[in-house]
Amino acid sequence: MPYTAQISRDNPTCFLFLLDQSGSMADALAGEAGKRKADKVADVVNKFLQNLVIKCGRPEGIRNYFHVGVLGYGASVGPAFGGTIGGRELVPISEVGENPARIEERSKKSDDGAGGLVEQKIKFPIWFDPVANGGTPMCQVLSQAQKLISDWTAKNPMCFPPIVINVTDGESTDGDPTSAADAIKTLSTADGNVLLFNAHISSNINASSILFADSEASLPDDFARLLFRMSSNLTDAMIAGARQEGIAVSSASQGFVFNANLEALINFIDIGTRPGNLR
Amino acid sequence: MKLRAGVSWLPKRGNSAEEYEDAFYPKTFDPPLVLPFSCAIADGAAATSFSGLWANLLTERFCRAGDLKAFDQLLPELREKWDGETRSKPFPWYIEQQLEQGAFATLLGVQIIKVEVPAVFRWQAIAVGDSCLFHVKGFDLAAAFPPFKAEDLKARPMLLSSRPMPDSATELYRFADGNFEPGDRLYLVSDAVAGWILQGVENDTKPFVQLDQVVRNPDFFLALIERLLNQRELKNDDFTLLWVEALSGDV
Repeated sequence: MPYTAQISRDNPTCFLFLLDQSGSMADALAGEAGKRKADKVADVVNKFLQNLVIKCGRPEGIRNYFHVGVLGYGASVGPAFGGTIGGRELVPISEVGENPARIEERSKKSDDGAGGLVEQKIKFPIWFDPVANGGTPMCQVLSQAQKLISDWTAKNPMCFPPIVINVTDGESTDGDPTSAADAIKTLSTADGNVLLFNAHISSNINASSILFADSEASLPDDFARLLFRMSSNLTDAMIAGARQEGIAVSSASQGFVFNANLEALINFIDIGTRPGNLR
Repeated sequence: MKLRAGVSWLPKRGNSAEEYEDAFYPKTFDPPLVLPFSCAIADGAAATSFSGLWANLLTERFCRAGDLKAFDQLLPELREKWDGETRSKPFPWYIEQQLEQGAFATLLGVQIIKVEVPAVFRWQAIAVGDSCLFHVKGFDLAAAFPPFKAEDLKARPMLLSSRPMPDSATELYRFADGNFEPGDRLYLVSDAVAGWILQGVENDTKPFVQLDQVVRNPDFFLALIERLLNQRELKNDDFTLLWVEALSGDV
């Protein structure tokens, strides 16, 4: 049965983010006043990495269940980590967690256990700052990702298949990315094909956020429809995980979100019991 | 009636013994075991750190308390203890955020008592989450508690948290009891072994015959777990099997 390989320190899997850093990302983000699409992209990836590190963290160190890479694409295409891991392509999650570019302090409201809310200061690690510059060479970055993932799967042939997550406004400037996306999705390990997911960050003010769409009919524009068609189906375990999180999905749901965060995806990746009452 | 008990446990394959996050109590079962006799297992959730500590606190306190229905009232004291032990030194940002979330664990506690009128022995149990109790007569299942099907263990369980939670006690706690007669056994198991037992009961593959071999020879537990993992009949997780047997004779 595909997508059932156990993720462990001996058999890790890999997340590769493709980060749209083009000039169009300086446009306003729909639904969030004063925020640019580039700000949202940086938030999505920083938050995702934060949660991934928390999931693997132990007092004795961070367990390397994952290797993580980030390729930026805009004025140039290449590794986009900041700080001491800058310039590296796929990095063990322990090194990612120990080496954010900086740690900010932010406020968060949380349940006080007695029916009220309490404001807490929490540390928010930053690996990326917003960038918006140049064109959107999506074909080029997909091609570079294909090479990276091809090398990874050759070295880790039994692993849970790598997940490539493209975070973009969808406005490719170097051609139709469909065939480059297909080339990634045809890569495989013994446990199944590589998964390509897309997080569409849009300025379209007439559209509301969508999590794991299951048909083109509900999508607001051609960019969204193109990214939806490029996306892999959610695996059976991911669909089950989404349902347990209360997210409406169907067996046709794909790894496509529109103006929405991807953190929920982390909870679908099984590296141990997750309590039903941990939100 | 006399009691005999024992425990077998293993960490998740690939993990060290120090990384085992289930817990059980008592730690030893030297005879004679006196009534009322309490025992418990707990399964610390891997989602956060220090869940093994939390699981240990729960099992030990349950066994020392002896009052199933009042267990919820003990949680504030246990939470304070957990908080004290985990605040002993500074941690990196990712552990600090886990500590804010708290640790989570199942609890399955059993107490065996003697009832004078009518003169019978009974087991009483409390459960939170997906650790399971199997009451077995011969090699046949007399009762499963909670009354799960194998499929139910795939869901995310509601667990006891080391931080105050809004969940109501009625939502979390389940209770059951039953008569306990000479020759009967109770098996307390965490979810990986429970899933295999439930699947075996549903498919009539006699899992209690194999567990009987573990009782007779504890070394068989490692061989059984290895074989079931290799055959992909078992989820790779921490493995805990605590058993209690009723024998004829006086305690």
